[in-house]
Amino acid sequence: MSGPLDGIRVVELTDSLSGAFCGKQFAGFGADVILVERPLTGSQVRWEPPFLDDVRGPDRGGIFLYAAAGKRSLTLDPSTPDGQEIFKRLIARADLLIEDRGDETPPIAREPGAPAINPRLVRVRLRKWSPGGPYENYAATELQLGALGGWMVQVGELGRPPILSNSRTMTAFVPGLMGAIAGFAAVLRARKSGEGTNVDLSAHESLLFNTRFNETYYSYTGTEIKRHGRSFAGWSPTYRVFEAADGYVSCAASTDAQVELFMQLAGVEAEGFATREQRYERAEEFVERLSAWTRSKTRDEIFHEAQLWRIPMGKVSTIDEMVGLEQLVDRRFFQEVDHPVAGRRVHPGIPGRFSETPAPAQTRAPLLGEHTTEILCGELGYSRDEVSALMGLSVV
Amino acid sequence: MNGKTIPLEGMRVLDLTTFWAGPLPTAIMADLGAEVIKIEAIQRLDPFRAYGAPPSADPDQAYEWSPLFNSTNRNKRGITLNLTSEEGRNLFKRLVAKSDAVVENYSPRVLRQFGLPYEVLREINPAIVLTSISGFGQTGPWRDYVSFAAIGEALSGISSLTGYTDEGVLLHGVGVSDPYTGLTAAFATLSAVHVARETGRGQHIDVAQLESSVPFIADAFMDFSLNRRKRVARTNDDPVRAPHGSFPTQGQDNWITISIGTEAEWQALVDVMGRQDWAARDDFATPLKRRRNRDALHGLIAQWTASHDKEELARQLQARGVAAAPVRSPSEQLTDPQLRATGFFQHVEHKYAGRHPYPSFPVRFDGAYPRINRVGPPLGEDNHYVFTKILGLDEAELARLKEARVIGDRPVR
Repeated sequence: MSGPLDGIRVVELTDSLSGAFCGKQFAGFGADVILVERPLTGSQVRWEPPFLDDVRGPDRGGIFLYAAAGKRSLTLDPSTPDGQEIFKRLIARADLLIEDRGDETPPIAREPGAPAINPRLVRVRLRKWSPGGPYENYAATELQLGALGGWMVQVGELGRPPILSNSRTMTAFVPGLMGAIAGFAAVLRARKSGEGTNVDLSAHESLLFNTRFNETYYSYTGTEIKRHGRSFAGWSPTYRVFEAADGYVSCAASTDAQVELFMQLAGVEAEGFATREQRYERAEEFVERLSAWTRSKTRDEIFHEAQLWRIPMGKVSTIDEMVGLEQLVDRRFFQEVDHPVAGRRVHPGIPGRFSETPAPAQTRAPLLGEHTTEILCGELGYSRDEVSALMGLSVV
Repeated sequence: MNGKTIPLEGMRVLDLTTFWAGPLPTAIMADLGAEVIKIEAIQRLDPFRAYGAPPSADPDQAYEWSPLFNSTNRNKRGITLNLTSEEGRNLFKRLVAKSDAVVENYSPRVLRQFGLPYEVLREINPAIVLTSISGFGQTGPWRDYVSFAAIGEALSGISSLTGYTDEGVLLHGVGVSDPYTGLTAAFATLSAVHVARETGRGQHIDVAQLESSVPFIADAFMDFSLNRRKRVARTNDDPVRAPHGSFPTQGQDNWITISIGTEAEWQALVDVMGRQDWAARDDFATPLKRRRNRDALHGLIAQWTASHDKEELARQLQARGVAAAPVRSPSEQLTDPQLRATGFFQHVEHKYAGRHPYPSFPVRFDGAYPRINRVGPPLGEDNHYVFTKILGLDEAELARLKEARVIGDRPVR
């Protein structure tokens, strides 16, 4: 086997970052993922910044290069009768269809029940909002999804604007991975029972599900958990970001034992801070005393010394430092991928190491329509002559 | 989800996890219909039980009142088993023989200390999948380092992207590294279960929090990879849009997000604000000028939003096609009209904690969310079922195990 999902066939009809990341899960583990794209312009994900050298182009978008790695590209106009026929043949042999295009999806994939041509097909449908509620047709960027999805209220300082991190993929990829989990669970069932399932999810609810159950917490305690700047005040004054001599470190010490070790390491006298209550009462002073130590050390010194003491602390890496982190280097996490337009570039690797069926080495993202002829002639039974006609008709 | 479409029916998972990143994937598998058996020990409870019990909780049983534990362990069976005892280990091995997967998030050396590394489990059950979740992975120089959400965020670069412009970094209050890890582990585990069903061979999966988190900043990472650009934290920046941000509205800590891309959206916003004079200003005349002068523009919009109600304003702007939405606090989510319409929160009774709302697994299978049949199993709640029905022990053996403190339903202090 070449990867755990070798032999699984996925058809992906996506324009969103979520949809692209959903398909990437399958491609990363060795499934055959066919990305169905618009002729000439392709998936909208190709047009998402950042671009190589800041020059726009269908094969220059960083998110696409990463998220489409290992997929095959077939161009198709699903509004034409021949396009619909091709699509039908594609899904006839697929385990899974991932789509986020709504009304642009071919009618056969929009029928309420499983298509007669493939009753075991699982359909993952990613939307911004669930149908059936007042937000169903709301316009939204990641900001609105993060606002109603419960993330923004947790990031920033109280009294100042709620924010999201400076990375759209941090929110946009979440529903994609949720969809992959749910969709693949349905595939596991379909392979036993022969029956496919409709799998519907929204970015809005996917984000909310992953906010540490703050609503349930409120219901139990009456306490509203909200953003608290550098700290997460509910757990311990020490669960926070500290300043270091050359940047920042994070500390997750929350049990009394961990906090006391941290005090010892930082040389903070127990006097006045001996109990949890005292530490809360004089939290500001307490943090300042610990900070005097952290500010005198580099991030790496703090990180490794604290970890030797089994205090959960970590350095805040900057983006340019990622590829050099010794743990990731040792585990060969990052992978170089060669692409005819982008050249040799480092990609984040596939998380999840399998002892018996490791994920295959990542291959590059496809050029637009790169595999159209290969798929139509080699797999769907069209002749070269017919493919050429379909191209003339702008179907593919 | 009706009985016909429970995707993971018939799958059994042993859950040796604690806190959030580990219990999340097993909760998802439980939601999807797998029989998940959460294993604690009366000598060592899941530490997540110590977080968030309300003052009204019976102090003697506060560990049954954690909203975090009870949420993260929904739909699971709960047993106790002392894995430091020979008998406990033997019972665990007998469960391994009857299961599809084991998920654990101990420090990498612990399972070996128990004498239960993957090689031992595989001998008992060649098809078993063992998923090991850790901060940094089962190998490498940092393998023994401890990690929680804030640590995964820090190392993975997420923290460096989180904060206001030019003000250093902040903690990400969602604790995103935990769900990133848990979701990654869920997909990997299901993939390995698929392999085991096809080939009869299980395997060991190594899921690291750090590695699970990095893909989520792919846009920032690829910008570095392609352009050597070192992205840093910025206040609600967008590569294209302006205005784009959160603005204060009436009341305490109330905010609305507004995001403008096209000229038509800008005109609609100006209309709703009744400030055609701003539209006429040269410094806001084009999308690029608005982006360049966004600080000034954001200041003006904030003055206007401050006297409005966030809900009403969002509705007005959305009616004109403008991406706008109120920032929701946890308590507001419970009465959110969209979530009410979809029935997102399910109200579930807990033996000790009473009836509370819990979020559905946010995916509808043939139109319905998976049901939450139960939440956070009380300590040892399913000992009887699991040891008699699954392992075939009799009442006398059960009593003896309890006597020997291999199992139990009260913590040993």
